[in-house]
Amino acid sequence: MNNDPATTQGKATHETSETDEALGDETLGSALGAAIGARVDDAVQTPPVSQITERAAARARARTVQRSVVAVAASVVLLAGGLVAYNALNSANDSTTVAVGPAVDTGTAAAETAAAETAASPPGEPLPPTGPNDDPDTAVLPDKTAASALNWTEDDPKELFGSDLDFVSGPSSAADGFIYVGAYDGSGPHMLVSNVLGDWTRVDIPVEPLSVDFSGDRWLLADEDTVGTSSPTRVFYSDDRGAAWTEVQFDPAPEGELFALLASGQNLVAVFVTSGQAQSDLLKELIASAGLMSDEEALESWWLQGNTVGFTTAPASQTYSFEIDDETRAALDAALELQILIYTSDGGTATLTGQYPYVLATLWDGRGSTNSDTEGFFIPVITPDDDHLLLSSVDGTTWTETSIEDYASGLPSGLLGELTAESGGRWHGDLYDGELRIKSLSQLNEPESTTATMAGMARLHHLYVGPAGMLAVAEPQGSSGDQTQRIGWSTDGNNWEWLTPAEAFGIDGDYVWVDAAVGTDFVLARVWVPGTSEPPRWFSAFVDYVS
Amino acid sequence: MPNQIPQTRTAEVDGFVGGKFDDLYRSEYVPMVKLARGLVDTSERAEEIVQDAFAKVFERWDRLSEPGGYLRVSVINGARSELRKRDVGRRLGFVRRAEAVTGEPDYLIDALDQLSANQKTVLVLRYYADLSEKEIAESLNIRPGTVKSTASRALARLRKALEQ
Repeated sequence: MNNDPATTQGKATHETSETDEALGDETLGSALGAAIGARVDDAVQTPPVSQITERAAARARARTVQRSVVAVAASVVLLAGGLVAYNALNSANDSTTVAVGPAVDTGTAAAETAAAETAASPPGEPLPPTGPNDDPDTAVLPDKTAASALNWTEDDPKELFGSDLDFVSGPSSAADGFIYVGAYDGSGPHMLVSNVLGDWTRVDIPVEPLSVDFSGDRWLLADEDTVGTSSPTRVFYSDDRGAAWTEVQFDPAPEGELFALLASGQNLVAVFVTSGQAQSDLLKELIASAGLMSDEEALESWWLQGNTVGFTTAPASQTYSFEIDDETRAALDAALELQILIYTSDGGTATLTGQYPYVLATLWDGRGSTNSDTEGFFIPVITPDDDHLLLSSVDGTTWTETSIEDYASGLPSGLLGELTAESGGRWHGDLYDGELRIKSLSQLNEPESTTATMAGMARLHHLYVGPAGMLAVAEPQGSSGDQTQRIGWSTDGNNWEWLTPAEAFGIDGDYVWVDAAVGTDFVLARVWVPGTSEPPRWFSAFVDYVS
Repeated sequence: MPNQIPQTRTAEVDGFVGGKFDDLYRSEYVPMVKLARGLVDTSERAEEIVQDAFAKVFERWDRLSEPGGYLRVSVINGARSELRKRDVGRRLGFVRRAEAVTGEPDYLIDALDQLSANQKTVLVLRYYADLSEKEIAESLNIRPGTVKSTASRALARLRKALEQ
């Protein structure tokens, strides 16, 4: 680092207006380097390496929970960063998947299986009744005031879901006040859907779901197993709440990988992102044609750094690297074309309605941030020039690009992309002057829109939204010295009750991973402690109101 | 079709470059925090970015032939993401730099913070981290010519900001 005391920050800054014209680039650059160095704290301490391994474990567990989404989203993160192309190729079928880290934590999955295996099944319930909050416009938040913090009760998963299930995923909110969990048994995948806690409807689904969205009676899901492979992504919809499913046909066949599936009214939108497939194919061709890999070997992974290509072969997992010239590197760069492809259907064949040379904005943890509600479809994107745009459409057929400069106030699309809530999809958060603020997507264009605040909190880990209110997982401001996570509950977005993990769930420690869904009058959460092999625990709370 | 691929495996990597993860962690943690701190506004956020980057390296350790390079790229990437968010927020008046509120005025830093995320990144890597144009190009996955032009535009804009 440039910490040359001869070009101190003060010296550089005081010679500005009169001499800047005469400063050469290198002189100005040196002064700049010194000024930056002067503000960097030299007293950085290296924390124990266990802190990193715990962080990695937490990330792995998060992926386990979000396994239906992360693989695709992470590919966008990697591609959007555009810094190191690092792809892992599935050696078994020679198709491309994106490496997002270690394999699913089988220990955790096994523990979850064991926890869920013993339970009693409630199959055959009737379809969920249409609840009082079927209109999302009126279902976001009730006009009520929470009487107190949530009073969590631990649930036995076998009593909550049934004993015949091998695995139950974390809960998610759909639209209309419904929540769902993915569930698996020997007969195949299911969704358990409910808008009344404990009264689950088991819906047989044709594939393990990557993405689920509801719009009234129209439910959508996409096949997880086809994501990240060369197999065409399969998308299904049901107009009778899961009793029968129809596969959507695409014309032309979409390229890339499905990123999001969105429903609004009777229309559905499938958002695809092109991946490094063409680049991978070219690289494989180069390696094979140069005789660098035998017929018995498969390409497991590869990466690019400058003009160095590295690759790993399977099954031996041997790693090799070699140099390429500028022309080859340019050809590989040219093969990496990032695009967003938008397909729209009203139930018939899905057609291409939008094609953009952008990347999708994503959450901090790599998850996506697309939205749909009764007002239409919303897709935050980032242009090659780092401009943030919001692609929006009322019906999914005609798309409008809106620059953030068009917003008089409110959170811009870029922040939506990185900070949007993953549940409910209509509320978003940001840090403003040391205070977390959240607001509704539908209010972005309103100069004086309702803004919820989380005083004293510095970082929003998660935000789950449903008809009954909002559940936030946040971290206090660092200045307090208290890094213990807080679990917050609010029915109006402004008045929050915060509990530590110990207070909420009786779990000691500073940090827990919470997956939650908010229903019409209840909250369901799956909670675990990163870095432990303990199975996740389930908690629920009913929302009491005062008039 | 380019065909400059060597006909033999020229650089077989046996295991890892640079030894164990611990070694990389101990030797690179502080330099990476300082690098990130040059790009983002707070030490806390810089450490957060670096720890995330090390976690990614840890996860991919057995697949990386150059974990140090991957680490640096991850840190820069994390910081750039932070800068993009800041850019957008600042245009709307959401984000303020902590030093601007509590510390002594620093016109050069203030001018630097007016640059776009890409421009700031290039200048910080060039003049603070002392990376060459080639190294910056590799880290940002852009061509060296783009580094040069970006730096030139950034310095011109920096001068203009200082004049105001």
